[in-house]
Amino acid sequence: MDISYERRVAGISMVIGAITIVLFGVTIFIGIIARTSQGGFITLRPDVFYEFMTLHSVGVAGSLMTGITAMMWYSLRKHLNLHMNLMQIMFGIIGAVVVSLLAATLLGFYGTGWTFLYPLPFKSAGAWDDWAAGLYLLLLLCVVAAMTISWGDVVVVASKKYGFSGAVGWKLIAGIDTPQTTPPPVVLISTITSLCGILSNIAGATVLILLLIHWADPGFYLDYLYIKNLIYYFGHILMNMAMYMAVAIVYELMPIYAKRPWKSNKIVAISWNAAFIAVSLAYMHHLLQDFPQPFIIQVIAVFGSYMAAFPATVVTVVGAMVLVYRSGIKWTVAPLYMFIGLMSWTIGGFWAVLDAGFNNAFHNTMFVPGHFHLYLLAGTSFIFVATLYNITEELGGCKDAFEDRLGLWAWFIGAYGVALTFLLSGVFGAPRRYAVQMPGKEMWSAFGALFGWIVIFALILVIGRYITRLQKVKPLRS
Amino acid sequence: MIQLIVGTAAVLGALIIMAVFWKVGTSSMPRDDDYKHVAEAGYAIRRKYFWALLAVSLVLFIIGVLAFPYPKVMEAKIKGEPFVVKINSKQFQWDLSAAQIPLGPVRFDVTSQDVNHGFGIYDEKGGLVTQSQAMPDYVNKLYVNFTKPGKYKIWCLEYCGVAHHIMATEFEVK
Ligand code: HEM
Ligand SMILES: [Cu+2]
Repeated sequence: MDISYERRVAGISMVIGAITIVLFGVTIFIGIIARTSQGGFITLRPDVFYEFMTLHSVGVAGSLMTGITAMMWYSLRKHLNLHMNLMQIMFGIIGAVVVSLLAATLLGFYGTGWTFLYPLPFKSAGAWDDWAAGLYLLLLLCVVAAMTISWGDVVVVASKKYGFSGAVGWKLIAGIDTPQTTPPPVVLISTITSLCGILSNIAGATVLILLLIHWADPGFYLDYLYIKNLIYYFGHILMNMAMYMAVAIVYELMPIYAKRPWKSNKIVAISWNAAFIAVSLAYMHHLLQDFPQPFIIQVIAVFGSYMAAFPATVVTVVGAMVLVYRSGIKWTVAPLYMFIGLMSWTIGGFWAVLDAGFNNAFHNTMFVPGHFHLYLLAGTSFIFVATLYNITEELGGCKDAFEDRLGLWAWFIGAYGVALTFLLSGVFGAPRRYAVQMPGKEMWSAFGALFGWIVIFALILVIGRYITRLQKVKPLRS
Repeated sequence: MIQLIVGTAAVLGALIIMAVFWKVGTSSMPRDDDYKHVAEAGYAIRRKYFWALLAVSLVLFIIGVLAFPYPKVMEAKIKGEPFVVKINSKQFQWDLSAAQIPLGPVRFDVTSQDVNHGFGIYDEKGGLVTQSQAMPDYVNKLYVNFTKPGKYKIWCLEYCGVAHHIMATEFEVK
């Protein structure tokens, strides 16, 4: 592949990485303020708390998603010639999204949480303005458009190179393994993941457009249960996509450090096709406490959630372990972030499966933020940061310093503390999304907030070091 | 009770996963250049792990589905006519057709007048007993078999707006 193309993609990813990690840090900070208020150290007015919760979750998830998408392009650069102008369009849209998110929450007091369960956006009991609800739905529609552009490009370009059935691994499953039809794992996983994301985006666009019509014409009738299914199909998969893109990156980068190959084969292809099915079924576990949902769907929901554990751990995690075992790998921060990232994904996923299996005991308790903060804050983000480290190593020849290790371990301790305090308070019954905790359950939030501040310390180190390392990178246009 | 058991499993499982990662991560040296050999040993362990995971998942899956207060499951489990309580909800209050409930099987018919709410029943110690969603236009039938008399609290378990965290009320079982 064309060297100047590779360098340009690396350069763009590096810059997007810098922007998104700063946004990521700022929106995490807002989450910490919210946690500090739940812990009773400060007092946010409830409407402000919920506004912060919304800004935090959409901002953090959005910036991580954007960052990880850029990192995916970076890891695909040796295999696929993606369209750079489409990338730029995508980031243009995301920029508009950031501005409107700030407007909707800070000026319009919008605060439904990221899930926007119908009809809450339109029934705020006076807390937020109608225009803010419309703007929020519109900005999510823009997110859908931006993600569809970038995922669509991956599917199209990969299918052109390997054929569609080659790119998604069906050829491998059928026993056909040729250099023309067998993509490297990063391409295989990115393509399957992108396809899954596009399907969920179709659901997302449908529901957002329906809600926007309702917003314009409140007489327009919508079925609550149907809309809820669509919202969770969209939201659940979108959140999982970030992690799957991150895992695709690990398949590409880990071999560089372990100095061993990680190739596509029949098992890898089967496992990622199974992951596609599992994640598409598992969304239904968000509706396990909606008893009008048909019983068989409820059983499938639990089944799909258990199923998700198989491809993830049996193939990917074990594969990564085999790759590093007796490989002589040097645990510099980049591979260490990746390895711990996989560990957090495993633990967070295990907790998610428990939540689905025993949902009546945990639904909408703090157990839920417990599980997803672990795999987002110590899983996906770790792989994101690992890629940033890899870029500056590749382009600037940077070496690790003491601060890099300090940042890693501080983040590790902070993230596990944040997640575990959420989780345990859920075990003791604390509901999620309470501006003020139920009496007797404040202690967990207080500890959670303290761990959150450790994450802030780590983020300052990581961002500071990234910017320092960037300066070593030679000018992009050489 | 179930929360404590599953919560303990969650923490123990996490520790086991960490131990495995620690073991593998610290066994990276010295390099074995015969990758094929390493991989084959790994895949042998993987086969065993696969079957173990399958067994555990199946058991948990079955326990989970049966322990789940889904109307179909509960109708089979509960003997006799349940006492019926109608639950209506709106931002930000609960409306119960009865505040005194007899011991034994009860069916809550839960719905909402405006947005989605969550009907969460808490015991005196602040533990979550059971829950269902409260959705407008739909009725959630939640069966509970009360074996302990006492005061129970209802808290909202689906985010419904600015006063979600104070949307609570009480009932008594005797
Ligand atoms: C130090 C780090 C973090 C802290 C202290 C923190 C804090 C919080 C708090 C207090 C909530 C509200 C919890 C509740 O009562 O339900 C929350 C929700 C959430 N957070 Fe974080 N967070 C952190 C990092 C992250 C990261 C890295 C992500 C994603 C990449 C994330 C995504 C979310 C999401 C999606 C929600 C759910 C919002 C909702 O319920 O609508 N958080 N976080
Ligand atoms: Cu509520």
